[in-house]
Amino acid sequence: MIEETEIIENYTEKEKYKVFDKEFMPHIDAMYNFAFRLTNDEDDANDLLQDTFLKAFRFITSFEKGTNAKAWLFRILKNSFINDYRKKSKEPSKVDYQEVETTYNSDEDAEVTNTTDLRVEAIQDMIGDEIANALNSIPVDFRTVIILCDVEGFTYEEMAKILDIPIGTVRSRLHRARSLMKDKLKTYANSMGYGKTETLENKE
Amino acid sequence: MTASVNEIVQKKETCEHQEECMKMVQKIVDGQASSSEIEQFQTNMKSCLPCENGFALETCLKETIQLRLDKKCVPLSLIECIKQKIGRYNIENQPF
Repeated sequence: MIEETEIIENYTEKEKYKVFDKEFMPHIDAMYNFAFRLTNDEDDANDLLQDTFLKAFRFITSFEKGTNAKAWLFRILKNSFINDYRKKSKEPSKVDYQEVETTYNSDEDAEVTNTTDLRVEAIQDMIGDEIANALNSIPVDFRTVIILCDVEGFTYEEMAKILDIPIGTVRSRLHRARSLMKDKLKTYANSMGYGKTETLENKE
Repeated sequence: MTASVNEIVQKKETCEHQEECMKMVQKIVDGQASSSEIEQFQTNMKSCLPCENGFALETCLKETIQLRLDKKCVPLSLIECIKQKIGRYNIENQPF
């Protein structure tokens, strides 16, 4: 789980709790939100968060004081989710993202441009539920990069470490995730009448 | 008003480098571009409508996700349960 960490800190029992309180606990709300967005279920999010914090405490000697605790914790949570929760989570049907990424990363990829005609005004009129529904409807691997990047503000480098993937894959997955989001939001935009207005304008 | 109309007229309607430009838009929106890359793109955007629209859309999408997505607080009972399980209350009751 924390295999790449080589430094083993020698913490006293008291220091362990100090690190836990000062370095781990400030991120608990962000991690809870991440867990909830991954599982789409409050009970599973509670269990996942608890498992993550218990693992973090158990492996606390692998955490180097002063390093990025938030990224370290998110990595544990992501691994716990993959190992223990993913199979039973209520996720939407998967797409073959590996194939998409391979295509995107290859030299021959000619088609990565925006395929939707979603407009800024349509997005601005959307409420949180519509954004959340769109996010929940995309496959979990794409949902994950949106959350890490847009909600939690991780850098590409941090995301690469959390997800165990190359930075190029982070970029391509983000690109694909946003395209999927735009497709979903376009459907909402059409239902809000933006598509109809556009069609009328085009006819004129 | 006249100036802005002229400005729109002068902008390119199609972008011959859209693939590369959209990759740069993503990099800028995510705060991963260097200042020289940002400067170069801004200059390009002044004369390219698809780039301008693409930048506006990606910025708006990111901001909307950041601001409108509901954020939950972890239940206090769960925090207590975690602390209990790691023996936080056994070591001592005073804060560190």
